[in-house]
Amino acid sequence: MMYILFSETAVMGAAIFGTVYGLIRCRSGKMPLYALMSVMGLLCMALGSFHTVIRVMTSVPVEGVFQTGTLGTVGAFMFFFSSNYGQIDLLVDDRSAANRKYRLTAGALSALLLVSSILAVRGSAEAGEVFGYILCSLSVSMAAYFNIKHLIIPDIEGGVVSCLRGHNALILCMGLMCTVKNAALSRDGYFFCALSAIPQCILTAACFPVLERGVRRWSE
Amino acid sequence: MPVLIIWVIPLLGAVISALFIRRVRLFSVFYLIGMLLCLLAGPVNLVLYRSCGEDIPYLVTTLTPVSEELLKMAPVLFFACVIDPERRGLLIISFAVGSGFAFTESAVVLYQHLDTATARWALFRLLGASVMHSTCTAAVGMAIGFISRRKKLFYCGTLAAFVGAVIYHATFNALIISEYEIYGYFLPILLILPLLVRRYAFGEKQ
Repeated sequence: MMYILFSETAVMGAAIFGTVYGLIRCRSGKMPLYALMSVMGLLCMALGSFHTVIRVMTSVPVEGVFQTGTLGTVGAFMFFFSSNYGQIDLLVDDRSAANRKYRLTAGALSALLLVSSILAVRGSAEAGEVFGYILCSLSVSMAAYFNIKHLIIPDIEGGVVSCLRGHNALILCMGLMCTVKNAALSRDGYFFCALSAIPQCILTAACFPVLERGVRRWSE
Repeated sequence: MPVLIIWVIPLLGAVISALFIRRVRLFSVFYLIGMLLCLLAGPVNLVLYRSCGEDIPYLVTTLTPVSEELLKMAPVLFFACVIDPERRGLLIISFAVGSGFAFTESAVVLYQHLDTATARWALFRLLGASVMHSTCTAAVGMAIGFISRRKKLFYCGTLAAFVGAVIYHATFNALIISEYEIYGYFLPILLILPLLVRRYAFGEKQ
């Protein structure tokens, strides 16, 4: 239980840092809706971790059941998916045949991520817990499709793709770390879960500063 | 006395809330819908209680937040999709649904604990639950208002806002069933306080 408490507190701290920093920057400077949605994603992640911490402190079970804290990751990756799908993808991909290979590659890789993450948690935990992990993997894979696509697709005029590549790579790594963490949790690997929280924290804390740098380069 | 509590508290809540709102008719209709939804949540929660093996901590921290937030979101979503997706109207109706639900729930809980309830507990319960339910639904309404005109953002954005509201609700419930009950009641008040100070002390427009 101490390992879960440590990992969730660390992720919560990093997500709160990202949210507060993001809100301050969004308020002081002219930031696009894309950035605001990323901040909302970080807020969702902070809320989810906060809920898990409260559950552990109040002795409500967090293992072997579907717990609401998992929804924090689902919400966060839904926001990241939504920001890429609704704001950037139309600028980047004109649905032409020339871009089909990038769409197919991104689709295949995100499907592979989904299948492997489901296989990693399948049959190793209670049905409720597995349901939570599958929801999480689904949202991570949906966000990963656009992250991978925007990493490999050639840049357009204006350079939006190359400016956001760093942010997309970070979100993709965050998703992978979440998947690894869920797989470790489903097999009672609590120490590994706490260990995986360290890179996840660094990625979460770096998420908004990297995005801000990209947005600044884009607007220049 | 029970009848007095169950009817007077929600109606008093409606009158006090309506004093701060301009579109009183719209507010009143959705406040009543919120009250009805709270009464509907009772049987729904009973079914969930039986389905989860009568495990109350699991029910209140995991299942009821989802069911109650779904029930409260339904009229807001209907209003946004069918009637008017304008942001100000959505904020008013979502706040109305949330506060109608909260005041009715508080009155019912107070009636159930009539023998043991103290005035201080009742006040904290009423304030904490009202602020929590109202802000959860208002946040979802505000998010829907913000993204309803952008079709590509609508579905995922609504789901993400709903998830945020569920987690907030579940955290409040986890605290109020534990020995940290008092922090549970103060959590929503503490979260809403900076917004109120910004709105009224510094006179900032919405």
